[in-house]
Amino acid sequence: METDDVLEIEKRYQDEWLLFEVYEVDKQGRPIRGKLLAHSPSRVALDEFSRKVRCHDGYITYTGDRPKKGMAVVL
Amino acid sequence: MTELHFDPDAPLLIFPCTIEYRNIRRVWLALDTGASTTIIRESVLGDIGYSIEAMTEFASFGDASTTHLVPKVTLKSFSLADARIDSLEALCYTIPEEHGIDGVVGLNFLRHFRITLDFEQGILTLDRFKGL
Repeated sequence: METDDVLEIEKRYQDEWLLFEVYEVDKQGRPIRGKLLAHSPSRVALDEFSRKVRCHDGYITYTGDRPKKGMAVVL
Repeated sequence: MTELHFDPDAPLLIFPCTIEYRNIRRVWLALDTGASTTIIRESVLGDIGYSIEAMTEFASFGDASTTHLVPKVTLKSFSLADARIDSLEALCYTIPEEHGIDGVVGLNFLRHFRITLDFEQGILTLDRFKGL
């Protein structure tokens, strides 16, 4: 898997869940460099992978609309 | 002081947060002044070292439609960007995948700060109260 600029990697995987191992963060703790460990349109699949790997400092993000377009959310 | 930009027209105000127990996960949570307690997706709590099956503390919370009895944990730390609180309680719950987030930041975190939501500029500021 790729090791690079986190934002650049996110652009390559639209509408997917991504799991990174974090190597470097900015002053606000936002990951800027890391290794992409897994990506999937399915969060369940990502979680299954995440349970199997050892990753001390990880970053999980979704690259699509949050929430999905047209959806109203009451949390 | 913490200052973060957000999209004033977005359906949810989501921000990068860091949760820590044995491991660290950096996730996106929605700011929710209507939530009493911070809520984190069950699988993420598993990632940072909690055993969901072994959890013995529970709390009741109600959402817009019903009440739930869910596991309660105490995080080693919780940060929204660089605004950090140690030993923060969080509830463990399932978050719909369609939301694209891993939980909500509730009042038990937010009340430690003077908060400004500027919807004209799209800027959130958090200024920690002294003595808390």
